[in-house]
Amino acid sequence: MRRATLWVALTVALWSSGFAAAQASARLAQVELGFLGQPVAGAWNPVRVTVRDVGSGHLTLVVDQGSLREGELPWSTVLPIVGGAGVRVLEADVYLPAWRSLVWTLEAGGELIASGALPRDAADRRPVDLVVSARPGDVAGRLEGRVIDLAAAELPTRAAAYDGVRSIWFDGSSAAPSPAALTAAAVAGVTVVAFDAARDDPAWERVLPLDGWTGIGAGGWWTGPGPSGAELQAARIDLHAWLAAFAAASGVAAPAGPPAGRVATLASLYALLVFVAWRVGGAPGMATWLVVVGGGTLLASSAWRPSAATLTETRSLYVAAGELAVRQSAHDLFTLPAGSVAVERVARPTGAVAGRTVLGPAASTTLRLDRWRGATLVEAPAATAARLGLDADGRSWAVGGAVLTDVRVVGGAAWDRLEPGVALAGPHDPEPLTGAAAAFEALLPAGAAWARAGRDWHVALPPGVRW
Amino acid sequence: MSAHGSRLAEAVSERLRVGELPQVGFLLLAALVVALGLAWPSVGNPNEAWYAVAQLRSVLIALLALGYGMGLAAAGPTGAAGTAVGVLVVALSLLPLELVAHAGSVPATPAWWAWAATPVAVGGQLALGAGLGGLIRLLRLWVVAPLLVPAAVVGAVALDLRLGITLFNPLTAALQVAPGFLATHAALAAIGLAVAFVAVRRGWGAP
Repeated sequence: MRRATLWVALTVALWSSGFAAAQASARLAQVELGFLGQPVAGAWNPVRVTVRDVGSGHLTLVVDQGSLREGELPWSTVLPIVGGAGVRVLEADVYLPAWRSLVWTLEAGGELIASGALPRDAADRRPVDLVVSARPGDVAGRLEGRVIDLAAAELPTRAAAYDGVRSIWFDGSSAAPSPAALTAAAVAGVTVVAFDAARDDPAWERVLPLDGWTGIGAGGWWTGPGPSGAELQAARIDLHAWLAAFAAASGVAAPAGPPAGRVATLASLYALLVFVAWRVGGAPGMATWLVVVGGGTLLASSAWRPSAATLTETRSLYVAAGELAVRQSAHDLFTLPAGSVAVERVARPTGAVAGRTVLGPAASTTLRLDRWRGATLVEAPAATAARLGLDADGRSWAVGGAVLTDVRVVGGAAWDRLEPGVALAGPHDPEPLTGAAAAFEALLPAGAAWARAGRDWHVALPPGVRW
Repeated sequence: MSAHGSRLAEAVSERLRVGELPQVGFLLLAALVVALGLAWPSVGNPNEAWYAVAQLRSVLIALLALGYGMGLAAAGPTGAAGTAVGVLVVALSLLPLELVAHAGSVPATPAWWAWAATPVAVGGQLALGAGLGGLIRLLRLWVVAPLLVPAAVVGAVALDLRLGITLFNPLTAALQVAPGFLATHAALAAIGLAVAFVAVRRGWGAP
């Protein structure tokens, strides 16, 4: 009896250890889109992939942007996953257009590890407000819309991750966010609000203003009484609308080509010369024929053919306050033959088109376009140094080595040229604008300055608080 | 140049200098010039001229080669060779006009395709025309000869539509790289050359 009991106990112990070992080696794959699984449609969103004990593979998101009239318009995003033993966390930023359906699959080692989907109802374009606090309810009560309570460690340091974020609130009651994360958020257009105990935290005194507003990039930091939801909305710069207006100013267009009359005249001359060569006959005739046909071929091949089958132009929009700016680069593509066009960047189209983007070291974005069609691809926002500044008196100044031209202050004066180290010339009344430039300036707040540097546009926001 | 080569060169030159071939050739050139002028867009519009010009050129060459092919057997060996090369010269003379349209439209089809396909297509269509001509002589159906050339082109289009592949259709072969089209016409041209070689050895049309 005692021996039987011993055997039973031994068997149970061995089985339990085996079960625990099996559990410990169980694979794990989790995908989180947006902050705490709440993505913002029509914006760049952070994605976090957590895997354990899986091989290398990729995460594929397929978004259908189509409609009943247009049919399916799939946009695919592929994120390579480097697998291996242990837990691995991969973070990146993906663009999610407003979707009719969103499906993601995680494949590793040649097999499907996990999958998921988001319904159409989850495609919410409203920006989110993030709260880092032990008492999130105090903040949520004053804001309408999507409020997300999260820990400071979950704030990324990439500007693109905050494309769909309106504000970040912290009160010092929980672990403080890193200055790098808050700076990245402010550059991307977020209003960072530090209130209550955070204002008294010595660690923040060096980086936060004692009171009031500090503009950083397209957003800024605020210490003071917390703004209302309406004030936050008023402070938020519609970067997407500015970018759309900037993208509309594309200089890439279909090649003009020669007029029909000239083509017909030269073609008629060619036909006549060929006929004469035939009628001359003999060796001189054949030699003349060869020269005429050869010359016609060379002329047709070189004179009127565009330099490339796909015309491209890359431009960037910078929005700055202080020393930092958010940069968004636009790639204008125009294809003459139908086919696939690609850029070696992670980007999203400005319109609803089918395509695919691959993240990682071999990043690329590919679209399929019909012949004589154009499209603009826009990269994710990124933090960079400002090139145009605006002081408290409303005067513009150039930063770094860039020479800026056509400098204008909205509702104010204009300068022809702004050069670092060179005294600013006298201002003059701004010339009236037309077309895309006028539409762009109409979106800027009063007192903002903007200028051009080649194909790039630079905007400097006025330093005052925006509400 | 050998004696054969000299005679061939003389025959080609004579064929292009006098007779109806230069008139027909000029007519084809004029047709393409008109098509180019009409299809060329006004400034700011997409240029779709190549699609019309390429298909017109391809059909005109098919009609030319089939028509002259039907009469090859009636000419002597030197005359037949001169006519065949003369037809090829006319066909090649049309290509720069298509190249102008290609440069303006920039289609996905490469520019070299027309240059590669035309000599092979002409050879195959001449051989096919010669075969049709032999059939007419055999059946003594001279009255249908003028109808047979366009009917052959229509038949080629219908056959390819039925098969779902481009083997004989000059319209679709003009707009895309079609290896099947090249293969069939190369085979027809090889058969035609072989038949002509045998015919020369047997005295070409001798009673």
